[in-house]
Amino acid sequence: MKKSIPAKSFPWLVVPPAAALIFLFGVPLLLVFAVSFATRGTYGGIEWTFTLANYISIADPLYLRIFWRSLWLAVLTTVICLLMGFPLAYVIARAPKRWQGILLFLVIIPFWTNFLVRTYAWMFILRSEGLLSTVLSALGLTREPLTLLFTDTAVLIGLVYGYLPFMVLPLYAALERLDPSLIEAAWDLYARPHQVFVRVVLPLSKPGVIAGCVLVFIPSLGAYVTPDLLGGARSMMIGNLIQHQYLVVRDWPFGSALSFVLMAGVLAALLYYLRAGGARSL
Amino acid sequence: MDGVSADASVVMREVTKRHGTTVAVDHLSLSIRKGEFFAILGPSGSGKTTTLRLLAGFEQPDAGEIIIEGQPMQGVPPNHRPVNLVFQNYALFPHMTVAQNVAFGLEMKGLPSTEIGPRVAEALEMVRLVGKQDRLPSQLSGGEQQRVALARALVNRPAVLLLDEPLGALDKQLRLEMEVELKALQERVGITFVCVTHDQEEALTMSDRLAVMHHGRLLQVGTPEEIYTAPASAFVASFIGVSNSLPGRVQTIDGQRATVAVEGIGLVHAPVCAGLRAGAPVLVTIRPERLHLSRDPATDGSQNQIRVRIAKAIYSGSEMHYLVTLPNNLTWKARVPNADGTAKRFDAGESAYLKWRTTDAVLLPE
Repeated sequence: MKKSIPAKSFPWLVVPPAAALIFLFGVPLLLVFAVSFATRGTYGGIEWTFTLANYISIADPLYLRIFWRSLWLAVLTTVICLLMGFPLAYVIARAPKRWQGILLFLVIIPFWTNFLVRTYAWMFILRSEGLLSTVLSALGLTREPLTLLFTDTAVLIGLVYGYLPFMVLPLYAALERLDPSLIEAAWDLYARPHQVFVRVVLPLSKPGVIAGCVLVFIPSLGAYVTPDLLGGARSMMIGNLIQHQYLVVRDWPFGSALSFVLMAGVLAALLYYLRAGGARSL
Repeated sequence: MDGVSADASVVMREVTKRHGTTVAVDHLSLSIRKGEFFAILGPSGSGKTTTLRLLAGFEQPDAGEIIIEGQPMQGVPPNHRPVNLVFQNYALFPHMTVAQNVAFGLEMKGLPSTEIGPRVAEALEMVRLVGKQDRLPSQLSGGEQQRVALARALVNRPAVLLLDEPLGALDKQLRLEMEVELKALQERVGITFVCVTHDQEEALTMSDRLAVMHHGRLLQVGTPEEIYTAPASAFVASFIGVSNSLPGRVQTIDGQRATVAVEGIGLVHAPVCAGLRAGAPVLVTIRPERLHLSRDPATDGSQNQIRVRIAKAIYSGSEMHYLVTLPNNLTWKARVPNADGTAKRFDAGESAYLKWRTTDAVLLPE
């Protein structure tokens, strides 16, 4: 029997985090929500005149294209992270115990450096006279300098790079719990390697797959730094659009409306994903 | 070891397997007959589990040869071997129902679903799990999970069923029931069973023949009776059941009877064993249930007898367990049936004559 301290005995422990969430997250969120129904003032201020115009103007094809690109890039990032992260997590989970710690440590080492700095490093790698282009042409693999920087591909590379650890860690946690004798049992019962994977390993690591996908998809969809530095003006994502509305165009009501649509979209996608994942669990 | 006989189901020839620097299985040669219940008995680390994994195909031997049903198994992966394994922890797929677990092997083999259904039903009936087919493994008791594991393996009708400590996770009462049930099941299906266990009682009860392993080597192969009554070494004797022993030196050999001098006790008689010569150090062993206790000295010379002191008397239902102290300060165990209610029991501290028939002793070369 496990002994646990009932949460009820220390109600006051909940007060600080609850207060922080209410005043630092809930209140600003409500403010943004209120602003999204206001009107932009002549010189960029807020006029408290109720309007739905902000939400209606999102339907503009220009903005819809940015939404679509963000969604597409986020989905692609999640899929690539899953495809790359699964074998990596599997190898780490099956490695000898003393190696597991070292390998996990290597996975999280990039977090030691500021994300912005690491993204700048990618600019050096990806630009036309950059590391990748130089190496590839020196090897004779490309004749012309690569034009990777400021494209969707550059954004995708940056996103996959940035969020891969968020996929690997939950996958590792799920695969580490997987009893190796189950894999042997499937093998003993005539399953070929791909059948062992599809029928036993994948279903039993599903909680890790779901967690990893959620952790990669959500920040990818709202990414700001990566598309700003690697995508430039041509490869804008929703995050950049919102920033643009707030700080450049100074249309706070429209920026707020965009933020809320993004949030609602993430919530809807998440619910759909979890519902679909849950239904398939048996 | 004998050559490949026509009725051999499993043949291992000089099989060696190393794990790093330790030799898990050391030049093991073994022939298991078709349709027999064969037990491999040994303490943990004796190499018995490695032997089973070599047969299942999870590990490949470093040297030697394994032949199953006449087919060399060199390089054959587990999914192509005519064997199925019942795992020690059962290894049931937790996300599949009982029926899905049992059907797994047949599905992987590519059988049509019209054939899978009846065979799964038949297997579940065989292990008395009808009505539980839609449960998840986590909703079953330990004994039921064990039966699902059996059904999941047997449904494939393998040539050889491998069992890794099949009863290890069950409580004592259930284990005794399952010993009988497993043996009956094996006789009914007629499949060769190879069962690895560290429990000598389990091995003796269930098997037609058994092998005793220690440090990766095969010490003795034989029927339970052969192993029990004529252990080939001191290790087998002690591992197969509590055995009393006396270290001594052979004094004379007279036909089938040897006389052994034991320091502090005197002369003891025992049947000769192979390769015995005068002057050799030997171990005289005698099983606790072959000993008798009496208040009067024996009059006929066919018995050995030693005057002992009762150190402890333990009542255990059908028998009395006595710990007795010998004149040379060794402690022996004696088991005396409580069949006759009138026979007076001994109490701790009493003196008694410990007797046994010469033919009941076993000599082991030291």
